[in-house]
Amino acid sequence: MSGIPEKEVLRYLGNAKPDQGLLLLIRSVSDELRSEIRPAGVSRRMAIAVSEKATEVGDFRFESAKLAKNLAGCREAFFVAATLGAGADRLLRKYAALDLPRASVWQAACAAMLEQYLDDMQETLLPADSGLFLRPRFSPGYGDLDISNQRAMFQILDLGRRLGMTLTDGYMMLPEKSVTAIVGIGERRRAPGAGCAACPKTDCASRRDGDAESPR
Amino acid sequence: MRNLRDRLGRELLILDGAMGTMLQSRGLALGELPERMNLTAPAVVREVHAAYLAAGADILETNTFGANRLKYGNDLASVVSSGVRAAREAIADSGRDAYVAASIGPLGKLLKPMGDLPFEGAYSLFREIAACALNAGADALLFETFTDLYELKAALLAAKDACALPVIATMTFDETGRLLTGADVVAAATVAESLGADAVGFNCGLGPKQLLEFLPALVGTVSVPIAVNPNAGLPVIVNGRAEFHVSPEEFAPDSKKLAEGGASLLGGCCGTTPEHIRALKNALQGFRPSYPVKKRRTIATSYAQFAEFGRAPVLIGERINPTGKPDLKRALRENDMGYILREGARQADAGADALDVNVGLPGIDERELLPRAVEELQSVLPTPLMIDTANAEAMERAARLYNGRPILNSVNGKQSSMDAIFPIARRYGALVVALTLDEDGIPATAEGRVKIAEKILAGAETYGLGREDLIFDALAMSVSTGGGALAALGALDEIRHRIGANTSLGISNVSFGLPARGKLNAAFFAAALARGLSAGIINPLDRELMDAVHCHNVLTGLDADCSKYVARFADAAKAEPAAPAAQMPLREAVVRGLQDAARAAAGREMSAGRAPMALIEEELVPALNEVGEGFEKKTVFLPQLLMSADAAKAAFEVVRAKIAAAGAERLSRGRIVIATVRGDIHDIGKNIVRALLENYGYTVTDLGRDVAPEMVVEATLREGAPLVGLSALMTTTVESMEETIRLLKLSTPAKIMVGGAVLTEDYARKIGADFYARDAMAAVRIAGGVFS
Repeated sequence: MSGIPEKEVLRYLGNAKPDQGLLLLIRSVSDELRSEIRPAGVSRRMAIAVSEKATEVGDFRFESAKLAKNLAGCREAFFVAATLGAGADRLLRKYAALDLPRASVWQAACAAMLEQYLDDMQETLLPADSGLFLRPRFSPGYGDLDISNQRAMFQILDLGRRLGMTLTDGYMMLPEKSVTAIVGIGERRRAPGAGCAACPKTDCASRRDGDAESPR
Repeated sequence: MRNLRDRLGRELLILDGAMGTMLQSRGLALGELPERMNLTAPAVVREVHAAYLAAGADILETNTFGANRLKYGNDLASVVSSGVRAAREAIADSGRDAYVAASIGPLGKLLKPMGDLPFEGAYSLFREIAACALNAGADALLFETFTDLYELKAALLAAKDACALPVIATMTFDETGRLLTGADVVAAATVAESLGADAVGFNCGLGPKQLLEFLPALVGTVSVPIAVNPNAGLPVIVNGRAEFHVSPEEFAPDSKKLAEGGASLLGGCCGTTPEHIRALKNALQGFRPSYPVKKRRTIATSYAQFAEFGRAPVLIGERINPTGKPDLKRALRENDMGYILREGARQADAGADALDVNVGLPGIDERELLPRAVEELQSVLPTPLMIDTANAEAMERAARLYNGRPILNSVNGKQSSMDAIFPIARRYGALVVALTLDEDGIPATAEGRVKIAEKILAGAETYGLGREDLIFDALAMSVSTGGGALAALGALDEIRHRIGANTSLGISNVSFGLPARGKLNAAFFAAALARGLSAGIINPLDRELMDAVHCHNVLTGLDADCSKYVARFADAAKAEPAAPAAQMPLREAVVRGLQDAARAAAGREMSAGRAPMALIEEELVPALNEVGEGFEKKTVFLPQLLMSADAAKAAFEVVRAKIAAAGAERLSRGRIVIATVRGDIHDIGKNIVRALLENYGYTVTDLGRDVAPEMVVEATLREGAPLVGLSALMTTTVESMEETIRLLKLSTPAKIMVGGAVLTEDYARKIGADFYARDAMAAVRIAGGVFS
């Protein structure tokens, strides 16, 4: 069972200075998430072919220079997905209608829980002595990787059947608290120029300035 | 060959095993849709069927699991017919007798309100598939791997409307025994059976060992035959792929236990092979199932929970009913669903097992409002609902849209009532409250009411409903008019004990027109429970009534270890209300986000004669500004801003009540229409904006999520709103935002502000918006500018 780092919840909330009331609320939400929500995830290791502007996996082709840059030098990648499930959405709907302060913390805590779950899952993907490194997660909708690539992620990972995930016509994932990502397997830790700097959303509150730092 | 329906449950029938993995091992490429092979490689599909036939399968499942219009468009009919043909040809080649069940899986889309596929859209898609299967000559429909009860409801309704083929419905439960959308085995199976499934069961997800654990709950719930198609054990992840390692030798004995436990249709799902099916067949040679006995349980469900009548008393919350509630009337007239949701949540929190929903009010179209209220309540609360209306059309619409097995309130002994209500109950598998009155009114005696109950039961049976589908209400009448309440008590006793049906009473009617109503209600409730009342329609916020039911449960052994009694009374004694917070000034209470303190402070100020306007301008608005500025400077977090907004709202309500009592107009700084655009179903950001705008005194018309451009224009014109706020969270839905802006600019003079994760100032301008609101406070500032 993965945790929900309080520091990350505060970061998603905008990095202000919390008072006692807010900390209590965060703890209460974290407790509820831990008792009500069971994250689930899947991964699949696949051979990839990376060119300058695209990444190919079997018959699938991901058109994105940013992704290609992130995966430069990788011959394989993990395709991963995780979701907090329908319960997290149900409760968010409830709080969005009945208790907005709790809903706002719920959002942030769900994001933190999901990221932590993916981090934990990634820890187990490679044997400790493999000598290989995982690149930062890269998701459809991020940079120039069009969100419609979710369709391919769903097929590769069979997400409908395995995690009960669905896509709206606008390629939004449901349950909403879900992530799909491509994680390169490389001999070097990171491709140059990846991470926050690769993202076009320059006014993002979570953006880390400077070089090629990824968000975590 | 004999009709399949006649054999279901009376003989053990063997289904086949996995299809997808068999096709993959025969050349299905990654990303290729498996059902396409019915057209491109029918011989391969036939070969899989032949292997299962040779292994002993009595029912072949066609390679049509994912066949629907969303995936196959106009090829659907040929994909299904070639799938059925492949199975038929394999049977003909084998020289054996076997049935062909058309496999139908979920659509891969989530239904509204949680997703974007309308219920009727799902219904139409399933209806088309069922019709294709019928035309192709299938012997049965097999709905499998359903994890969303709502989608299964659409599928079963469609199947029953499209054809008379037997329908087998199997669902996938997780290790905790729940569907993805939350229903447990009892709730899910209740709904499937109520909607006419000819067999109900489990498939996929788990292996036979795990499913064996859940089988007793299923067997104890349904009266139809049971089907189980387990995986070959739990998945083992090998190199990021799921593999199933339970061998045929292990699979068969476990499956035999499933048969002994009550399953009469058995096969396999993921990871099972013809060898598993052969081993299963051998292990079950000569096994004779006994046909399920009639369970006669009376269970209402939501998408997740159930309430069972005839065990512990069921408490049905009565408060969503506008009779005598001016605030609810106002909320209904203003389309304020938030009020209804809060009322529902308060009752559920207080211990209601089900909620009555009545929105009948002169001048309101119940046919629109009742289904909407039901849908909104269900998107927030898992409590089963009772659909309460005198309008049969509204009742049918709400029952159709309802996610679960609803209770209809009500039918009575008039022939016209039975003819209107029973077909709805039958079609949608609902329970019905039956009032013991008829064309001649309400009998004064218990005998008279029992007679009507018998008449209603006979009428129900002509519609295929049984006593287990009815809850008789023996009608609590005001004792102030004389005559006491013995007729109701006597009638419910006889209905419960002689007829053997469940009963309900609207408890508080008894005290109408008398003082100390709480005491009389509680005494009457206790008396009725002692006579065998199954359900009270009550106000769960009424402490005396809730005390009465807790006492009843202890006295009758329903709370055998007294734990609930002790929790209620011992803990209540300890948790004395905290001393009222020191007299905190209003401004401080709002800044600190303390609702109760803010409400109290506003009350004090008003009683001290402070003018409402002065209180708003001099206390509330400066307090909100202080918090808002803190938020902008990033010293205050969003939840803190929202807690202050809630506190301010509590204070506003005190002020508004005062103004309303004085008969003055409601204060408003201006009208604003807000919506999340079409295709986008996020709404929390929009809700936050609405909360803050309302705090600052604006009248906000919130159109909700996934709103068509035309609806936004229509509301803007109707409200004469000078400002419109639009929200979109996805790059894909910014397109519909742009379209909405274009339409608004064509036909209204309104200014438009936009917000949402993917937007930026530049992007907002590019799509034609007048303002970009990067957060909720920015929206308040923009409104301030527009209305200044």
